[in-house]
Amino acid sequence: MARRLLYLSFRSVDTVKQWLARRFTKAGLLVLGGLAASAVVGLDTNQTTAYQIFTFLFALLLLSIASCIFVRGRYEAHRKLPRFGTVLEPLTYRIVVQNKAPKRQTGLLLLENLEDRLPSFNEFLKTPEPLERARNPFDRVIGYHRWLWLTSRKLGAGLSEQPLPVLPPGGEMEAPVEILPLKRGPLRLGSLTIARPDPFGLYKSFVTIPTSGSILVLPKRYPLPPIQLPGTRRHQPGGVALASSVGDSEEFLSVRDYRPGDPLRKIHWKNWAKAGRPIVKEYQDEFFVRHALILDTFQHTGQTEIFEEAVSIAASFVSTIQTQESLLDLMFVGTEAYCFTSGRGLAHTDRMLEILASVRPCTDKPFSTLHPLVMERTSLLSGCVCVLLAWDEERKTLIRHLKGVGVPLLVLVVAEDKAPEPPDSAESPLEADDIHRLHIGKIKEGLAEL
Amino acid sequence: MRSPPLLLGAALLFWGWQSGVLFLAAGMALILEGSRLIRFRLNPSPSDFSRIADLCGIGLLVLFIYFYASKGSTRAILGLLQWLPLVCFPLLAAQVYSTLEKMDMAALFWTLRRKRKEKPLEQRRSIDITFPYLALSILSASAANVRTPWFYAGVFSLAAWALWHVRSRGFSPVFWITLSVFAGIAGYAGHVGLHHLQGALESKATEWFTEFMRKDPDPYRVTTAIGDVGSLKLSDRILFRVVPQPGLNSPLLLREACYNLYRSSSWFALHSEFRKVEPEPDGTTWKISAAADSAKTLRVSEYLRQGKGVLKLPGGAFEIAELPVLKMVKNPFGAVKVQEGPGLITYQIRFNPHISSDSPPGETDLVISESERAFISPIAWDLQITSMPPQEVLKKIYSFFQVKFKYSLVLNSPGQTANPLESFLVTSREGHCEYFATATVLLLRSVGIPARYATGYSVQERSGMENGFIVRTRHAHAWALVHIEGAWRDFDTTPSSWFSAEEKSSSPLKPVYDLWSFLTFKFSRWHWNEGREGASMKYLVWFLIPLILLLARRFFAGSLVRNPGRVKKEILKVESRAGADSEFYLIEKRLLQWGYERYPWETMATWIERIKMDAMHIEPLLRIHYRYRFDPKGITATEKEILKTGVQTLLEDISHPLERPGENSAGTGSLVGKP
Repeated sequence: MARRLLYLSFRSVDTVKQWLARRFTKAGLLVLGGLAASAVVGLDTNQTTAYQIFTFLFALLLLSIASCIFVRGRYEAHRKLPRFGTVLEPLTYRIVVQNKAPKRQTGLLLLENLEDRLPSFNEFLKTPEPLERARNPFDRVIGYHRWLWLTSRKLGAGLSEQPLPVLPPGGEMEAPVEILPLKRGPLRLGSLTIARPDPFGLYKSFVTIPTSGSILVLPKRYPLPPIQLPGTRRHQPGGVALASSVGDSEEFLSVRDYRPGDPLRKIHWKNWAKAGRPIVKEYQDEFFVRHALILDTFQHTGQTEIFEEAVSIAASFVSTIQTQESLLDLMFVGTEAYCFTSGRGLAHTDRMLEILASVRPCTDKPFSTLHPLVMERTSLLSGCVCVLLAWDEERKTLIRHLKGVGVPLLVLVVAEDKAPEPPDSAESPLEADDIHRLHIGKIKEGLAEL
Repeated sequence: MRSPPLLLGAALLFWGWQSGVLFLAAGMALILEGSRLIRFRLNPSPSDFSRIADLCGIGLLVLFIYFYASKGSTRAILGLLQWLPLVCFPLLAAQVYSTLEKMDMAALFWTLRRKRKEKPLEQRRSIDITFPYLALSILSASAANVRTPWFYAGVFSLAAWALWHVRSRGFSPVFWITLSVFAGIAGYAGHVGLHHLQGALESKATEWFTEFMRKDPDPYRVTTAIGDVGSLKLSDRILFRVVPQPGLNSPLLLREACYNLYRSSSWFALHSEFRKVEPEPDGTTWKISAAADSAKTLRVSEYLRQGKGVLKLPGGAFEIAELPVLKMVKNPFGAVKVQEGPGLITYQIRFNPHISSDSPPGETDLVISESERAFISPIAWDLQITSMPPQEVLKKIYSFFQVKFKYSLVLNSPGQTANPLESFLVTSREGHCEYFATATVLLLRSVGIPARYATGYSVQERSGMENGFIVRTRHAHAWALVHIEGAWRDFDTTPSSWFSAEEKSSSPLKPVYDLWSFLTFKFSRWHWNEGREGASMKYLVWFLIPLILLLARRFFAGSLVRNPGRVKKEILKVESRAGADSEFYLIEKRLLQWGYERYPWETMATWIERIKMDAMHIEPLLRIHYRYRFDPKGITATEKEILKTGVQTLLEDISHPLERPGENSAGTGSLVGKP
């Protein structure tokens, strides 16, 4: 009961905050603040003259709101959405707005409405914040930090008001809209709101157009260096198109900006001298190797940051390996195996990224359920990239078995920034070279060192 | 969003003008507006801004301590508010002279600074504080509390200037100006109204509080407002209602208590022990003194607090009838207290003004203190009343007060004289009834006529809603009691102008209040006199009739809504009988008789199938039965005949208990038919 009350109060405060932020302009919010301040200061009309400010601001706001009631427009609008977006990369699409009124409309603003913006009561009740145990008992009971964390997690995209061009009577205009996707997965866009500030520029009248749309937001991807996995030739059922070979070419491809972790020998000194910033040489791979990818989704601690980074690393491999003349067409995500044997085209990359965009942590099954799934398909593997969330005995066993059957491996373990190094090198037969620990906040550098 | 040129300077000048620091404000304005001309810019880091903000914070604290020590808590806050533009000035100056012309938000919030330390790479948020500073300057100007129309004009002009800058460009400037002027006028009317509202609320709250704290008069002591400074404000609240017998003239004085000793603006009742009064056999009639031959009557209705109260009685009251209380006490000075009564009492008083039941005059009724005698005696001497017969003395004193004195509710300072009564009699010659009554008593005593000080109410306002008088709080009155011709008589010397003076202080909402009071009174009468108040019951019936009609209508309307469902149900019931006379039910009945129970959830077909009855070619009959039962078209007469015959045949086949091989439990075996 108390939890529900807390949830309702957080939710109502959030709704009011959202309403204020959307309905009032910056000047309007300042006037609102002034109204509140003058109400407090001018409570006793004999002590100060702040009550005169209060009544003036109050009249001003009332007139603003009243004028919005009478000034409304009629519009139609629809979005032209792309299929994909990427986390934390600004995404631009276009919206077509039609003015249905016989009057020219100026100074209009466009607001996007996200569906499913706030966490449900069940989510609030059952999803603890990652660091909740470290919080004091009061914070744990009240759950405000949990609410903040959940709302930030649920927020699909950062939205801002977009100014619309002048709309002639009955005319139609196309306006670009930029949003910033904040989390991977499907981003559901709800109705569109066309706002018009009142004459004072304090309050906005809204016309909401019911429409909907969806964009699949792909995980964040990191640039990867050429991966050198020692592969073995195996019979490929797909024929020559899927034949795997191993090797590197020294053919010069291009130069690019230095990225942290690039080897010194690749620096192009002359270009550095010319450009004034470090430039490195890139070489063309000549052959491709067929890789499989194992993404570990078995997590019980709810450390979303580690999981999200693991998904990003997996997505980086999926999108990069194809372009490096290698082939990645077998993917183990959680308890599922996905196999794409459509050849060397890039069509299945989209599909794989879609799967990665929607992957959720598996909290109810142990890592060992992945073990038989992978071992069944070892005959198909010529090289394997494993992205792991931890480095415990279960995971070590899988890696050991894969090594045992001679599958060349690249093991990446995502860990927190200050996590200690694994103490396994002495007793285990695993080669330390194949196991890389990538630390949160330094993933890019870690990948560049591969 | 930077503020338009000169606006910030104008706001600072306005603040300086209102706060009396115009030169300081002019300097500050010059520095700020100078940034538009001077190209010199600093490049402060976020931590520099934090340091400046800390400096402002320290300044704020020092100022608060200073104001708190010198002015106290409330004034300290207002004083601080007034100086906020000066305290925050370094921060704004740093911003306007910085290259970015914005400042790091973390400078203003400790939480952001802490967050920044934890996540140094997170994007910094900047803020432009020019507009908030502008708002602060205007708000601070209000703390100076300079109450001239220029303040509002200044606020309006500065706000309009700022709003013009952020206006919505889709509207014409004329429309904008019209709307702004309208907002200005509305704001002006609003603040005038708000100020008056506060005044009215304060006055009302004081009145309510006084009323809440009001107690029944103390028959032993009363403290007068003699010597107080200010003005007397009494409310319009109706305290009780009086219905006199026809022909009785107003104003009528109804006494609550009487006192015999005056000391330092207070009257005391010495030797005034209360004694119990026993009721007559009917329990509601109380004789408080010996009956007189001729009597006048008066009916008073008043509320009792927790069943207790002091009765309002005219001089010469000897009998109180229809008073439903359990206890009554009376003191020798005529004060009558009742206890254990209902919330509202209506009692009838019989009185004769020419008799008196109060205790005979004693020595105390002639006492004047030396300090009072010093100024009373010369006045008595001047009036030449020292050797006059009592009737003449009364006339002389009455005309003295009527001619040379003025009634006033304003309480003036006694001035150089220490005694306020002396000031009243010698200097100011104006005051309220307590002055007149006290002065009269003392003057009478100075010439050897026994006199007392009486408090109560003057009945003077006729009610427009009933046949009678209403008595309000502001009709409270004080007068003298004089003992002449062997009886105590009321002697009121307060100039008659007091009626109109009191009337002037009444509230404009009086009619509304009076109506409410009347309705409450009627309700209370019904409430406390249930069964005895025929007239009230009559009104109540008139009130209840529409209420009952309304309820009946609601009830009826409700049943109208519910009725269709009921009708539908009945129709369905009738419809459900279709096919109910099917002969097939005879088979069901027979099978049940033999122990083949049909489960509630089972259809006829599944039941037949379960008990293996299908072996007996029952299906065609069942099909006809189903059609008879559920087909809207029904079945033909031939089909009905087939059903009838088929059922008859089958019934004959199963006319005795059937063999149920392999099964003992009812309804689970199979039917194999006649052996």
